[in-house]
Amino acid sequence: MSLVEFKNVYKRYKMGEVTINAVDGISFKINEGEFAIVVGASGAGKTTVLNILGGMDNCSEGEICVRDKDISKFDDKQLIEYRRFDIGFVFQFYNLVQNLTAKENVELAAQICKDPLDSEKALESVGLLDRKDNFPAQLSGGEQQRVSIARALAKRPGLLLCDEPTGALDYNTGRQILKLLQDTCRKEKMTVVLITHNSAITPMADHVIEMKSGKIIRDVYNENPKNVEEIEW
Amino acid sequence: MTKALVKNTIREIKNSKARFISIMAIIALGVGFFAGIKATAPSMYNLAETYFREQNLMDYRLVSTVGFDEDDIKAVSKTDGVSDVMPSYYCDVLSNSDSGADVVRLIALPKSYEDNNIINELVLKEGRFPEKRNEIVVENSTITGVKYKIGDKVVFADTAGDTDVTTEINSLEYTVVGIADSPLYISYQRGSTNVGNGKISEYMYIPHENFVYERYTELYVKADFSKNCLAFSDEYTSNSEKASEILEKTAGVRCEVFKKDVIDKSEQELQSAKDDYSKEKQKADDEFAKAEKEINDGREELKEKTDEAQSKLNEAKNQIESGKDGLKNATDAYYTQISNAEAIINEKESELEEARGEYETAKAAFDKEISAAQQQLDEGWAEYDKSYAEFKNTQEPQLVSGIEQAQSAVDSLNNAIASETNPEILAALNQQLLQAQQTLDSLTAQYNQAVLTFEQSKSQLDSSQSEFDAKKAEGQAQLDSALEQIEQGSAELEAAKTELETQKAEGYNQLVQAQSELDSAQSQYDDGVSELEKQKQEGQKKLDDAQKEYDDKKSETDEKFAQAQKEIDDAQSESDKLSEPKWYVFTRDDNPGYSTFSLNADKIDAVATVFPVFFLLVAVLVCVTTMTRLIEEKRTEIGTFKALGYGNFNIVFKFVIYSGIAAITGSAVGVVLGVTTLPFIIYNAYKIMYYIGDITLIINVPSVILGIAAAVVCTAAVSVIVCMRSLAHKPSSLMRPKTPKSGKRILLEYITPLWKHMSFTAKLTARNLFRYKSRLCMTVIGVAGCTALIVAAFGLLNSFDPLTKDQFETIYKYDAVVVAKDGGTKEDVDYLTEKISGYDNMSDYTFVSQEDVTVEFKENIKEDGTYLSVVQNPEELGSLISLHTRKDKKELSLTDDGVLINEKLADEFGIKTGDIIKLSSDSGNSEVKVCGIFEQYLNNYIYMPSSLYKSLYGKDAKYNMLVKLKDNSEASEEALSSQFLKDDKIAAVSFINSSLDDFRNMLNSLNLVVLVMIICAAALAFVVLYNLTNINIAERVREIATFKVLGFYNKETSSFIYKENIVLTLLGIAAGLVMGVFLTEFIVQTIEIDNIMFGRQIYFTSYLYAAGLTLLFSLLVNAVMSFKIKSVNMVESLKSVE
Repeated sequence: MSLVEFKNVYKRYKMGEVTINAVDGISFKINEGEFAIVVGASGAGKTTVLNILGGMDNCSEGEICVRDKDISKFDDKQLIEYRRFDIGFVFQFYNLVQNLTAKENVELAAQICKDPLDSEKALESVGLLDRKDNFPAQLSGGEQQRVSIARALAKRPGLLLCDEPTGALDYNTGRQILKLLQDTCRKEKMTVVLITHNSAITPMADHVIEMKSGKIIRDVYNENPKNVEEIEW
Repeated sequence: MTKALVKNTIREIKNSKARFISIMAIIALGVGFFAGIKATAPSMYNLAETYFREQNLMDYRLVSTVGFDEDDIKAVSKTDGVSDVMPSYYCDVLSNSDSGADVVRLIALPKSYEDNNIINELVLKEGRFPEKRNEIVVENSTITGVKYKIGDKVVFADTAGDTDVTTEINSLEYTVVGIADSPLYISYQRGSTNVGNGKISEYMYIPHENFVYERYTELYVKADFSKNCLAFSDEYTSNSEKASEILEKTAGVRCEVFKKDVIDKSEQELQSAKDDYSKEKQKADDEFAKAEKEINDGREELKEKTDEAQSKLNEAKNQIESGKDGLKNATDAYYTQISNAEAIINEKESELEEARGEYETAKAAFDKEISAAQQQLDEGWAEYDKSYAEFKNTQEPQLVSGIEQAQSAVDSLNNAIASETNPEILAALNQQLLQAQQTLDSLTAQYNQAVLTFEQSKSQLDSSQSEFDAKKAEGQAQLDSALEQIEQGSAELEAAKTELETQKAEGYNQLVQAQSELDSAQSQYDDGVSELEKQKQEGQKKLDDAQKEYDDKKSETDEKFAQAQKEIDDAQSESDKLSEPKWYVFTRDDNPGYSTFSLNADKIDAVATVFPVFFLLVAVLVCVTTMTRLIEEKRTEIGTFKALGYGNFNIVFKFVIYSGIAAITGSAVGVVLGVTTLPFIIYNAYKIMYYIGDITLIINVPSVILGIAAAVVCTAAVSVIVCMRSLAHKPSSLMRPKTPKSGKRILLEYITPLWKHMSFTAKLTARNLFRYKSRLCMTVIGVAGCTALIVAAFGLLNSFDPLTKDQFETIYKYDAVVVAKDGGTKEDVDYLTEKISGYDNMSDYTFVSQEDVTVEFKENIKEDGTYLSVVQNPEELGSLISLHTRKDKKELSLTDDGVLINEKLADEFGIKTGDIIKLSSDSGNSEVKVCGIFEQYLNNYIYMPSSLYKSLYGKDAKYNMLVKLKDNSEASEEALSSQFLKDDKIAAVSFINSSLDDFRNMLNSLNLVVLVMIICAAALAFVVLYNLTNINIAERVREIATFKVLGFYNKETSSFIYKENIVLTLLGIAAGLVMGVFLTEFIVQTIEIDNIMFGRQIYFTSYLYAAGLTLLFSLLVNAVMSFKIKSVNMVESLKSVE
């Protein structure tokens, strides 16, 4: 049973006279517990897909079923609740609240959930318990991203969406982050959707969706996803 | 600057309309307010200047103690710097109207003197100027006086104080023909006088012909310099001082001339008049003395003469009286004698008559006796004869028979006896014999007796006959002698009678003669008396005439002399007055209202300096924040431009242009709005006090430039500074996102218990607050400024409040003041006491005096608006006027130790309780101790009890009556007024309520100014908050987006921002309230009108309003901002790199 199902989804932007289809009638499914990677070049529409899936943006046409609910029909409030209870986000630029310590950033997310993970446990799970009282500015990029992941995990989301989580990180740190995500997916049975332009990391995914110009050009499942450690790029 | 850059700038403006507009709006508000208020004072000055120039307001008003003559005028007009002179008259009189007597200043209509220009031209509002005598022009605006209409009659009282008004003007009744404004009186102030209550309530203009002064009473002078100087300007003041000195010199010269020409002459004249007077007086006195002596002599003579005549008359009278007495005696003697004689005669006559009667009686008795005796004799004889005959015939025979019988019986018996022998018969016979014997004896005796008797009778008769005859003869002789005697007596009597008659006649004649003599003497005397009387009367009349003539002459002369004396006295007093001729040179500043106008304009200017500067400051501050933010946002762009090779200047220029356009357009809008509204609104408030027409806008160019420059320079400078700071970085670092400002632990976190109990969002808010300290400062200062402005605006409004509420309700509890015509003497007080005691609606009353006083303390002198109030009975005062301290409302009591003074006066001079102040007034001068300082808002008052007044000045004050009514509705006040004013002992009844209304009206206009301030402050608050919140949101759009992505509800997201805003607002409000206190105090003290104390207390409600309003704006801004927060695009915000 698939957790997420995109059915013929369009996202159009009107630029004056011209209509651009950022997402051009795509359909795919993501199953529960999958580690899915949406890959494509810049402007392929992958972020739009993620945004639509994350309830941050509306689609222009089509159905997006998440746990059998069509979120494309959701109003603002439902979307907020959807984000609040079902979605965890990890951004390229971490988007931590600068004014909150690591632990507080996690708590920020945890406090609005029904059954949150203990903040310290979440930090522990990303290996940053000893830095819990540090402010984002006192942490390195990787550490910040790990806080960001901890924040997303603390919500116990049904779906963890990651937008280029390694984009701003160096190679090794990026790997660590990816490892963390993969581990989380496996250990916690968390469904993770990751966006990247780096097709080199696709072997680690269970499910790879490749996009180009708003269309899905490849939708494959890896029979044997590799561990992050095994991948080089 | 390249085309791309220009485009970029224009697009920048287009893209950030809200920010641009908010900068513009803030600048507009600040600059507009500043320029608007700054334009007010120059506009007011210009208005006054134009008005004064058009009406040719005098530069100097000269008043002399002795008036002015033509020579004086010529001398003044020849004085250096004098361009025009206009001589005029004025006098202060009392109007005779229903509502009491108002003091009216009558001024001669401006009339050009020779070829001089007319000075102080009136502005005719209605009707026309007088064309003939007894026509009058009344003033257009009367605050205290009566409002007249054209055609009304104005009647003045014939006395004004001690002055006979008819010595000043020749008619007391005038017809109103016009209504005008005078440039001499531009405000409600009318100045003071020594007539009536000392306050001029209105002025009126009458033709020159109505004045009867010999000399002009005032000279209006126009100086050359004033053509080129603006009224109120420093140049004017300094020129005016210089020219005034020159005029003073002329004044000195003219005074000397006057002394020589007039005083010496008048003194000489006076002296000669005095000499003449005493000479004449001496002469007259001599004459009168002579005349008096003559009259007295005449009187003496008359008296002497009269006395002499009188004594003569008296002598005559005595003689007459004694004559009268003599005559009376003589008459009496005469009559006595006569009556005596007559009595004697009558006696004799009656004696004679008696004698005759006796004779007759005797004769008759004699005759009767004779005849009776004759008869008796005859009868006796007859009886004898008869009885003898009878005896002889009868008795004798009988008796002889009886004797014979009896002898026969006795002889028979003697025979019987002798015959008889029986004893018993013998005895019986004896017995019978005896009897018979006896009978015989008796009969014999009888017979004998009878015979004897007859014998006797016969002898008796015979003797009787002889006796009778003798007696008859004797009687007859006696009678005859008696008759003879009678006859003789009768003859004697006749003779006596005749003699008496003659004597009587003779005596009578003598008497008559004596009487006639006496009568003539009497008549002579009477004549003499009447003659004397006549002479006396004549003499008296002559004397009286003489006296009357004397008296008439005397009184006439006395009158003449009295008049002469009076003339001399008048001349003397005139001369005494003349003795110190003094000219007073008054400048425009001495015009009532002139200097206060400038003062008020300056005050507005002061407000304009404080308030808008503050306003501008806040505005600039906000602009700075906004621009800083804008530039930081454009960091990447700056980097890009720099990387592309644009010079620093060009890059900076973009932002300078941006801010410059915002500042200039904002300033332009602000200036236009500000100067076209504020001066008019503010001046409208002042229009109640000044009657010089409507304001025409004069833009205070320097301040407009200053305002605009401040705005432009500040924003531009900020742009440059912030830009330069950014430009200092390398383009590469600029193009990288600026490292976000790191979070920091705040002090609060170290207070663990508190921190732990704070909600998560509260913690976040707390950290955020301290994260952007500059923004915190900006926001707090901005909000505080707005709050302070609102507090100040409300505080200003509050400060007017005590003027009406506290002054007229808490301090003045009385309703009416009753002023007696005589000024409030003891009699007036008694009279009013009696009158008010009987007035039903009276609840309480007392007596308090009021007189102008000059107060001196150290080097300070206060002359205007300061009154000395003497309280007749300090115990009674409390229920009518409450004297208490302002702060702790402690009642102050009046004691003989000193006086109580009001707070404003105390503050102004720095007087403290226990200080000694100097008072000088008409009553005299004194030094008193200040015993307390009481709350009072209108004018300055010095209260003292009557006992202290008396001990200081040695007399009683003149009291007015303060009355508190039970029912103080308008109707019952009217009832009191109409009832009391009917009484000719009462001059005026005035009511607190009407003063209160006047005051309210005046203050209401000021409320408008305050309202403008509140609105502007509120607008500023709104814009500031909007702008700051806007920046806040812009700065934290990523955070907001993060929150949103994390699934925070809009409300929750907003609340993060709001909480900060609200905390900042609250901090700002708190700071603003504190600032407001000082700002209010400063503004209130700056604009406080002379002699009026504004309230010092800001009501709690004002703080509440200010806080509430600011908070309300803050919430409003938040509400507006919530849309903005809602519309934050998560995708865009998170994607973009700062």
